[in-house]
Amino acid sequence: MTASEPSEVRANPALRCLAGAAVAALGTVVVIGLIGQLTGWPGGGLVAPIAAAAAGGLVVGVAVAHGIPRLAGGRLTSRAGTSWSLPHIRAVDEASGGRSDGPRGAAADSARAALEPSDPSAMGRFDAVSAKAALVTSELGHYKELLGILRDQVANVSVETEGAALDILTRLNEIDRLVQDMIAFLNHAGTSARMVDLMDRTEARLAANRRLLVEFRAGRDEAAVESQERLAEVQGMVAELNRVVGQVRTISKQTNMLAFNAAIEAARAGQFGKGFAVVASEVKQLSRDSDKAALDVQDGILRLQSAISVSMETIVHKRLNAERKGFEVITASMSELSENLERIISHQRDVLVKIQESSEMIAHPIMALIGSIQFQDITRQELQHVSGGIEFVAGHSGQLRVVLEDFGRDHDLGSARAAIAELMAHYVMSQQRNIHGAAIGTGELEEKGSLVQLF
Amino acid sequence: MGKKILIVDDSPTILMSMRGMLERAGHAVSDAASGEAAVSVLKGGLKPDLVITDFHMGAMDGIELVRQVRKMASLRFIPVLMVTTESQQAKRMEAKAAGATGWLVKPVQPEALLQVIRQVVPGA
Repeated sequence: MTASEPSEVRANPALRCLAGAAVAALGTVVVIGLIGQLTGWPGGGLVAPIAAAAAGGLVVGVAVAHGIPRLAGGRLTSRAGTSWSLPHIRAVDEASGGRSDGPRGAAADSARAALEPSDPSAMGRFDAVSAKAALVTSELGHYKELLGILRDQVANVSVETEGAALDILTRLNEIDRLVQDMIAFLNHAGTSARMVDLMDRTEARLAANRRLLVEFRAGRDEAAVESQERLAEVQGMVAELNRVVGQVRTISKQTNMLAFNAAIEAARAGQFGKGFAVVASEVKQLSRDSDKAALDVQDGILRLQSAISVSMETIVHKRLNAERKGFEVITASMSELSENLERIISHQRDVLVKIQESSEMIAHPIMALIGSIQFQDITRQELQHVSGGIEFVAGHSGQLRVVLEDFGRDHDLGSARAAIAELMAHYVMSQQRNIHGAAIGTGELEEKGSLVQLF
Repeated sequence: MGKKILIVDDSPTILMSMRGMLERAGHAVSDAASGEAAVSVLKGGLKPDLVITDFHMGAMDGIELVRQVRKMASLRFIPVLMVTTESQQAKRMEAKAAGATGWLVKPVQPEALLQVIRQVVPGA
């Protein structure tokens, strides 16, 4: 807080009066304007017109205040450099009882009485100034309520942002927990021994089935070759039997020829050959029967050979071909199943990895958000300074009203300039000091220190 | 490896934010809403591996809390980090003189906080 000597407003140079008013107004504009500039808080838009109104009111008020003492011969003392005490300000404000009936008191009355007979124009100016002072005093009387509303609004912003920040944090923490659960699940699912074992066993079983099919097919092919060999053997045996049947028929024919010759010789022997002729006849009949039996055997062998050939064709070729085609289809299906399973497993792993990567990408900004929500605490502190400024303006306007109401007495009037300096002293952030310095046109920009410093 | 950390701040927002970041990193977190409350729990037997405190906090500020911690024999050498919006270098030097281990400016991002913790807390 800057310190300066108490100053006395003397005589009545209009220029000095206006200068004093301008200084007071400038101070008020700066203080109230700072409220809007400090943080850009949501009520800032409301502060700006209030600041303008306050500035205008105080220009008139202080001009009047500086003018009246001159006319009344009173003295207004400013205690620049005195630290503001809000309880003191409130006490002064309450002592006035909120009245706003303008300048009053014995000093005013006596001043008017002293002027009336000797200077009618001074009396006129006195009455005009008194009327304006009454108006300003009346307006100032509303500032306490108005600024109280602003202070409460600012306080409510802190409360509401804190509630919202806690709610956001709660939800962010919950989201983060869910994301972490998902990542843990994906880690477990991707590397689960049970999952890996299941996949390995499935793949092993499919491979074993494929081997079985190949082996079975090879066995069936061997069986077909063996059957064809057996058929060739049977055909060889049939040919051998046919050859034997042919020999039997040849013997039968020779026997028949022998029986024919025997019959001829028996006829030539006459009576002595009759018995022999009977034998020759029997031999001939036997020969015919033998030939017929041989033909029957040959026919049976041929029919058996045909039946075996037909059966082998059916069993060995058609059925085996059908089985081979079936095995090919099954083998192809098994291969496709294996490939599909591998694709599914690969796809599942890709999906798991993708979800895991995405989850981790989500988790990172969530944690950053949890850190960024700390802005609420920063805003809260900035709003506390805004509230301090509002408190000062409320108290100061009350003081000004008291001065106007009772201009005949000396008053201890707080300094807006000192309040500005005090406001600066209470900042904690470089950006607060920089905004303040820029607003009053003084001071150098303060650089932000390192965000992290280890001692 | 998770450590026991005491957070001291008069802002519920900061307490919850810091708790979220630290618990996510696997640390066990206790908190106190004032310097006096922190001193109380420390005298009650809490033995944290690290204290993280705000600077501006009501009656007992962070500097005074650091001084109180340094007076406790069992906590004389534990790291104490100041986490604050305060940006004046003079305040940093004041904290250093009181025995603080480091200084972080709010808002603190998780990576920065956890990196500092790994630097000042053995085994973290």
